[in-house]
Amino acid sequence: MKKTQVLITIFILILIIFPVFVTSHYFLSTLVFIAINSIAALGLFLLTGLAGQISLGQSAFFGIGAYVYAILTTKFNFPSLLTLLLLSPLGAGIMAAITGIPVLRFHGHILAVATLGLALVMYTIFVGMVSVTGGHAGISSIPHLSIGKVELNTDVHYYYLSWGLILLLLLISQNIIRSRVGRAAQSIHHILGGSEEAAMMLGINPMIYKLQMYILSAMYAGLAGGVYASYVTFVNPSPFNVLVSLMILVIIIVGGIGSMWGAVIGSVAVFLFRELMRFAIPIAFPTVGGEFEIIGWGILLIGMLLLAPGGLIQLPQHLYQKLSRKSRYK
Amino acid sequence: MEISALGQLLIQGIIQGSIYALGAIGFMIVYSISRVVNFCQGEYFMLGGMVVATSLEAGLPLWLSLFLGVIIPVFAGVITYGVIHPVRNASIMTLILITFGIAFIIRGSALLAWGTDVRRYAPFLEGEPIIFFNILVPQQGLLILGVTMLTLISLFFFFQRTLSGKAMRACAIDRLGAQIVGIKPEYKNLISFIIASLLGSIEGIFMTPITMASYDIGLTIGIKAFIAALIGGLTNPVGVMLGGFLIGILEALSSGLISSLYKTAIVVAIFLIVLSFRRTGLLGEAETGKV
Repeated sequence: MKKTQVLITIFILILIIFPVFVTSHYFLSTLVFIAINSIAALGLFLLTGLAGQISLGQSAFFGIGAYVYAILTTKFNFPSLLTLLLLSPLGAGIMAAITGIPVLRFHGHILAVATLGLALVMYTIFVGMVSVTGGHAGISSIPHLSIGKVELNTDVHYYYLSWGLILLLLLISQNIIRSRVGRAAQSIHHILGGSEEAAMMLGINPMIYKLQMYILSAMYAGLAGGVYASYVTFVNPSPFNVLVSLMILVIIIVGGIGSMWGAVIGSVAVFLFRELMRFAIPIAFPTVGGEFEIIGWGILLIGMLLLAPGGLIQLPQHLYQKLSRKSRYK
Repeated sequence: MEISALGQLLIQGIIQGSIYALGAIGFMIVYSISRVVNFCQGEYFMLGGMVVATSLEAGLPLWLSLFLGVIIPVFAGVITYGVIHPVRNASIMTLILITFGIAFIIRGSALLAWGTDVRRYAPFLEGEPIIFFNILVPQQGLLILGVTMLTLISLFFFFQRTLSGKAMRACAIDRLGAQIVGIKPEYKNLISFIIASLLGSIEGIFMTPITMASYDIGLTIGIKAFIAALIGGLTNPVGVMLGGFLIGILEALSSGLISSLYKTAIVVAIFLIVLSFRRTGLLGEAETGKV
């Protein structure tokens, strides 16, 4: 067995036995939220890590997935499993297909602002279309997911569901990366040495592959949104604001943009850091409230980009290279 | 709709647009000299308004409050430069993310310092609004327009008539060429960040009495100013300025005629339409075939 296979097996075993030892609501629910963010981040990895296209619109698709689940299950009594696995990702995917055609023709900072603009617009729609989304009050008493007759209503259920979905999506992503589509997408990633012009010379239409990756990334985010809505059983616009898009991008940068595992590692790291901030900052500033953990994201983001551009996943390698280089000069 | 109501919306749009115009010019100056899109631009705006609000509340005299309201955002601008400087040749994505990271830190620090409260202070010019042809113009609005014009004229003077300004234009046109004739581009980068944060703080200080300020307004204003800069054609000063006023007028018209909820959606839609047809913005130079 190869080293990576051993590592993955250990990872899966730890995941399976974890709830046997840890039963606290706090830990399990944090792990579910980590998993939900990992799913959305994994989607962004396909677009940003693989095809090299920056996107700050992930929160829009996350929100669409959540609202599709919330509206269809509460107002139309759709079966929850079908909605979660099929309709939430589909809704986000359709939105991506519509918006992708104008947006993906841009590059660099224009693409960043165009996707961020979409996220802003979707947020105002979540707030503004009160008859459909309930405005700021949101939609409450959303049913949990039920498979057959079994209703998933405990943290442990959702722990297994969300991490199971991650393993499944990692497997799917692995296959996408190694497929023709994945390799074509990588050929337009300029940091990996590709370029759109060179790809076009080889008969690859960059627009098609960018659009495919964009739709896929939106579907991952839509699924994450569906899981979120079914777990929390309440949605309002605030978890889908534009900062969430930035957070998902921070996750894949911190984890390592060159590998799909970066999405999972980054999500764990960002959440650990956030909990640390939530613990540490009120000691110094007792009256503070709100989203002060964004300071932490900023520090984490700048620190990673300046000191370890490959992210946490490449950090051991990076440190090893630095150390061995130093010893060579001695 | 009556003509006077339409005129009222237009005036509101022009006043609001002067924020975006100065912000967009801040983006343009930093971008054309150091090739960085600085998403902290909106945070300088927020800092300017918040600092003046706090120091007036603390009972400091107006001149000292204004001084602090300019100096603290400029300090933030210098820090932005200091962080970006070591990685200025990195990829566009890295630079965008670093400026977002700095914006997060500024925003989070503002939250720690001021909490989530919304702040405002009395307009510098109080008194009855002035009436032109049945259109009410608040005196603070006139002051904002005056300050904007003054700022634009002094910027024009700086870039056209002073040696330092000419050297900065030289950097924007050809960095290597400027280095050959003895201009230090690194130093000009610093000045570009200082000017951009100065512009941000000026708009923040004069606009806060009308729009109010809280720690989280920076991101949206920054994004809209950048959209304005892109619509105008990121490197063309006249285009960028007109882009700012255009965004302001569009917002005022859409919130007056349709609903204020959809003004962002309309701005983003116009941005996508304009940029789809002209990648370099309305007044930008046509893109030559770049391989």
